[in-house]
Amino acid sequence: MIIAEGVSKRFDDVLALDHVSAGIQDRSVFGLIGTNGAGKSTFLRLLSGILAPDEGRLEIDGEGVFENLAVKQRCFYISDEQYFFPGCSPAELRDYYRQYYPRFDTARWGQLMQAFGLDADRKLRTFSKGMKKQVSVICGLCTGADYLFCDETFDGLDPVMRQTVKSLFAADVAERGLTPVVASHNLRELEDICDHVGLLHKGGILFSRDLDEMRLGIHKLQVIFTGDGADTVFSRIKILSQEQRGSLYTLVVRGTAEDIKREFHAIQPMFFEMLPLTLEEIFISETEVAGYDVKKLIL
Amino acid sequence: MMSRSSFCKLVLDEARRNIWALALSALGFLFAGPLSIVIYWQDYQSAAGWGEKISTATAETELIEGLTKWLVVPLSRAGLIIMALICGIVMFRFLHDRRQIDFYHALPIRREGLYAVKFTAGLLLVLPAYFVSRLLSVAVIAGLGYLGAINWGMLLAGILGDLCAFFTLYGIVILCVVLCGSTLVSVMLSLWALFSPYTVVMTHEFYAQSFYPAYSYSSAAKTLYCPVFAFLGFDSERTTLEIIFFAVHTLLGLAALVLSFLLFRRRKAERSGQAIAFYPLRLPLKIYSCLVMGLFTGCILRAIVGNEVGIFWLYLFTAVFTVACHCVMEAVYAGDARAFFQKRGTLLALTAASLLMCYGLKADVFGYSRWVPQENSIKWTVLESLSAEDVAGGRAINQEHSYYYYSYDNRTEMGMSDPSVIQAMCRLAEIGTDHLDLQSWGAQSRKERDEWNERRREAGSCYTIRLAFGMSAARSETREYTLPVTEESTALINEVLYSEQYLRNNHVVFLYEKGLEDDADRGRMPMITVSDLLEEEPQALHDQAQIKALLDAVSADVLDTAPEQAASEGPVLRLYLGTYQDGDIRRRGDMMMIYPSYHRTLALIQEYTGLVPQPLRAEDFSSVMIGLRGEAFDRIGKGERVSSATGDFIEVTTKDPEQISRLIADLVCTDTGEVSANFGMWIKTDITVQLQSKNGMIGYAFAYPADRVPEDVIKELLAEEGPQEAAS
Repeated sequence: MIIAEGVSKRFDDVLALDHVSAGIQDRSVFGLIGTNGAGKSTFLRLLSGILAPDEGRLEIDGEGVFENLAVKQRCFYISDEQYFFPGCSPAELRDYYRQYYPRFDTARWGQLMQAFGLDADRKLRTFSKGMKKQVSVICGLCTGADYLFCDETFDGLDPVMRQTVKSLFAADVAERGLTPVVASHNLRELEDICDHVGLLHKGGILFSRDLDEMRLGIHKLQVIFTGDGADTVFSRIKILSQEQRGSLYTLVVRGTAEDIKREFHAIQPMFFEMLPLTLEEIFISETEVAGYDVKKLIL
Repeated sequence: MMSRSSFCKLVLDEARRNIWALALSALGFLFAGPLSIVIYWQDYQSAAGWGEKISTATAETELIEGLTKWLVVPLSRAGLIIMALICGIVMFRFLHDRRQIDFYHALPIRREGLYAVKFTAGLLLVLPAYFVSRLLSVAVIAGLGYLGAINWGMLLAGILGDLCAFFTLYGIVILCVVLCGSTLVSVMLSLWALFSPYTVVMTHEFYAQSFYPAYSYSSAAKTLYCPVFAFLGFDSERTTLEIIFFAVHTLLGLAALVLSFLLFRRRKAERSGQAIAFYPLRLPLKIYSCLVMGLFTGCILRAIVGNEVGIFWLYLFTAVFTVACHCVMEAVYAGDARAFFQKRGTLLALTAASLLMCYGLKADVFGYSRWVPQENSIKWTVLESLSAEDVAGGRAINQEHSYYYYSYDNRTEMGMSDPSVIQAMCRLAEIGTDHLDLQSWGAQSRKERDEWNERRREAGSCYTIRLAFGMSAARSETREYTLPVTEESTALINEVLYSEQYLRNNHVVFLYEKGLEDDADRGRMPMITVSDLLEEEPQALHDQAQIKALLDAVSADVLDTAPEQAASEGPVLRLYLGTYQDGDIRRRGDMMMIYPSYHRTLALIQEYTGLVPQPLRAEDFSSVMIGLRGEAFDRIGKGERVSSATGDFIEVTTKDPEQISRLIADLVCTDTGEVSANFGMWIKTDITVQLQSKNGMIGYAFAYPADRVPEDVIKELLAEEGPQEAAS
């Protein structure tokens, strides 16, 4: 498990992370959402042991990361701006990583390269941006690392590849307990893969929530009331947001689905439908409660 | 902890990725080593074929000397230095790129391990190629049949020296790369680290040369402050001072290596892209650089624009370049040209400091000119040069030898440790510091020079001496003084010049005797040639017993010479001390003069060659030309005494044997070689004498003692020639 308590990091006059506290459970896919400059990359670089925190503690399974060889061998970092040796091929990169990660699965690496249709002996400098990211993800998965830190990794991947990578993550999470931490500024990219999301803004965590719990606890519905049923039900449920067009109400409501249905069926509305909420809508609602206009925070 | 095999694999991997550096090393060392030897050998073969006719044994000896010297050449060391700079930057410049830092620091490897891998990979790119080239060089020499002639001690010492140079430079460059966050800045810092100590020393040297009356350029030791020069110049003929500097630079290099390791561990990864990765270094580096560059550039530019523009320009240039350096450094630190005028407080403080230092250096706050040696701290002393002149009276004494480039060990050999000599030299220095107003300095304006000329004229006759004092293995001082000619100063100088130690260290006959052993090892035999002053009909001596006896006689006569004799007598014969080999004259040799008081020498010369000194005879000359300038022109030429130094001169010539006879009667030969041993005689320098012998030879090396000028004859000649236009 990854625990961050009061972690701060300053770059000269810029406070990149301001007393961030978060807990990332093992065997879950954690999404780190935030705008540009929110501190996502900094947080991941701290987790990878590239940077040392100025304050607070950052531990993986109870041990600090910075300059800790044993912990770092269980982590793999995929940077937003990747570096490859000049003139290097995927095969050479594999051989290089094998020297650092004793559990590197060469056979699986070959299978994945074939499955993705990538030439192991071709120079990486001739690969497209997306192909390079694919190589990095493959290497990361095959190192046998328990923690995979991905910074804007899905940016640049086509939708098919994105789904493929998501499936691989899910399989590894289930089979060997991989814990990917994926940073992105694009909610839609992370919607299908993340179990848990945290919103980072101006160096601080606004909230960190389990996605299923968020989805279970917040619902969008459209309803047309009869009589004065609206007043009755509004006083009994927690409404996060409300829109009205004529007699049609579109509501975002906190509570379980059963409770909400029970309350509305009791007033026998003319029309009642529960609609699926996108992650973006959930975020908007949650952050509006916190006093932020998340539209200004994220895409 | 990384296993050994993992470490080796990583190092090999790292080296393989920079294979171009290995190729560069291999090529460079191939040319600097075995190929150079082969080229030298072939060149020597072809030169020996059409050069001077020399014996096979001689050619063999010289070839072996040359080949074995090529084993320890500056080329290999220069190659190592260059590769140390390249590899130091190439291996560690990942610290300057955020992408690379993220890549490497995210890997499961401790920083110590990463440093070790990079460091070792750099060694691997250079040292194997170097050692292979050494082996190939030895193999080539062995192949040519000269394996037995190799001086293995010299070879091993050379290799050790090369390795010290490499590790020193490597350490310094790595430290600079770790300290910086940008490759360009780290290259600049590396060059600054290597060459700024020399710049500091040269700045003081420029100020001394420009403003200090007692300034004297002492030796090439200044370059030793730069590690590159110190290492490149360190060869089999190294001096004690060079060894000291070599050791100091090596220790500093090792310290830099250790410091680079420690700082690498502590370096913050986020500092990539910053000019300086360690913020506490910024201000001290700026202060040092601005002051050095401001002072150095200020005095250089002022020297370029000339001494007439006034000292104001020195201050202006110093201030301008201090400001400029500060602005540039602020822009580099910020990575933004608009940061030029940030930190105005520091800018003003630095400018004020540089002006203050400029003033202080100009005013000689460290007391360079006022320094007086303490007798009990002097281990040896050298009289590097000595002359005497009467500016107004147009007189000078035959100048003693003048050496500007004594190496430290050379001085120690040639230096005098006799307490009485040291005492005399210290007292001369003391007198010199009391008369600094008689000394000129480099940056004199015209007005200052005129004032100085006036003071010199008023002082009358003056000695100009350059003295060197050695205090310890690493410290020596040289000063130049002008002292008025007094009984005391003359007595002190005579005490030095005619001391046995001085004569044995400086006189050509003793130096020649010391060199005979080396010459014998090389198959060269001593040979002495005797001739009269006009060098007609020289007589050569080859008999070794006669040469030995003659040298003993000359030595004894030289040591017995009294100052009073030297002040009154001119030379009568010439002696050339040379060597020959294979029947050919290899070295004509150094010349010395024989004086009338050299009784033993003259007796043996007469016995061996029949040569007897003869006075100059009028029948040997077809004409004599007399030139008058300066004071002589004014006094004799115009018939009245006026201020001299007009630059005008008159020449009169006679072919009349009677006039010739009177003109040559009191002439002395001034072509006295390196060490005159007749220093005390004042010569009239503003009267030139040109003798044309009957066989067409023209002799210039004759002059009149100041008290024996045949003015009556000269006036006769002037009267015969009639009114003349003075030529300029």
